[in-house]
Amino acid sequence: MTVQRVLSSLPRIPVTIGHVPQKLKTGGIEPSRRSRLEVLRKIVNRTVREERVELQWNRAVEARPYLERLIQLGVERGPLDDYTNEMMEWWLPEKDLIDKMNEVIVPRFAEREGPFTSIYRLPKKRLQQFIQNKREVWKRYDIAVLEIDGNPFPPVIYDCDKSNTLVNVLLRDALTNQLQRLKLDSEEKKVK
Amino acid sequence: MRSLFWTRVQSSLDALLGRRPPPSLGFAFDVGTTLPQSSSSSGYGIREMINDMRIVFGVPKYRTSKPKKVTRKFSYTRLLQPVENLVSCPSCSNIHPSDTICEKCYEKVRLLTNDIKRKMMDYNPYVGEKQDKEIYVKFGNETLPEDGVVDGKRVVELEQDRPSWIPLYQLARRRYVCMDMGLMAGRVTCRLLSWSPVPGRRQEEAPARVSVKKNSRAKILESFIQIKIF
Repeated sequence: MTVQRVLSSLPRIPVTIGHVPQKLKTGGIEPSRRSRLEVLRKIVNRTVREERVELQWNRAVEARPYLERLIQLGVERGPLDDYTNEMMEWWLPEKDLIDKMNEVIVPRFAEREGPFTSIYRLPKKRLQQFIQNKREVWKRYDIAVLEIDGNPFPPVIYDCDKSNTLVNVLLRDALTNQLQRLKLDSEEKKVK
Repeated sequence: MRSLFWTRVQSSLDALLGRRPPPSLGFAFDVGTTLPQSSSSSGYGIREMINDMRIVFGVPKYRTSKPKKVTRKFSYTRLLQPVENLVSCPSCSNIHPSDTICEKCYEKVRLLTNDIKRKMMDYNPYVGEKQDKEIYVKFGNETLPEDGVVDGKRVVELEQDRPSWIPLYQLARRRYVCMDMGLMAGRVTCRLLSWSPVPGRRQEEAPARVSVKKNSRAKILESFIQIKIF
């Protein structure tokens, strides 16, 4: 009942919600309907802790809306709200991260609109899955980079360095020439 | 195994043919009539021979249809598909699929991210330490700015110098000040006018921020000229 009232008061999260149900099998977690949430919780917790993580693409796509909604709850309803607290406590089992969420991440987005997270796709990569009886098993993985915006890390997508293009080299030379000429002129004036 | 088999075949043939002259073509049809005689006399006859030759009888009962053969040889798992969505990265000219980011460019981002992350995660939650502050990254060749950028932030110091590819200022969401000469002629000033320290929706409600913006514009332009031109 509370959930319905709270969720209807929140704006839509502006991120893609995967339309294909994903298999989120993970070693150490027995596969069941509940395990899906456990896997997602693990991912959300790790992302809040590290702010930029590399995952399998489908996991990142699945976990992103949950992370987005968690930040949105903090931004829209504030840390004093009961429902927000309940959600923070469930989604962040490491308790120091609840403080991080309330003191760092939510204030960061107080004046911003969503999305609060970004996702990038890396080319497929062949990685070692496991070694069984000295037999190496390799698999091709789709990898995603999931991050919370405004993090201290260098940006994933940046403007490339164009300082060595032809136009820039010519312009730089022209400007340095002009500067030398200006310096020479001023020296001549001083001499006179 | 095989030699044993052939010796037995040879012996059976001998048993059949050895005592008699080579049979005529017509004789082949009434072999059946002579069966009991030969088998009873030598102990190895047609029946034993059929038993031994049974291994040869494992042949396909039906013809494999053409679609099955063609699928086996040329199905989609057997063919090499052309990859058509390849693009080359504008900064490092590495080739990658168009729906992904460049792997080479991301590699250096990843290494630096891991360095910062290692310092960032260097705290012990079991004694009450936590990440309760924003983080400011200070590179080896930099000094801490005094204009209130760092106040209240935790400073993470890296030994390496600031790489040239990291943009100094962030323009808005995923757009950065373009630090190159080609844009110096006129467009950079336009872009810098639109720069704001915290890009967001409520800029009208925060006049203090706007004044900060005007002051910092000149600073950015100065630093821009110092860094890139001379």
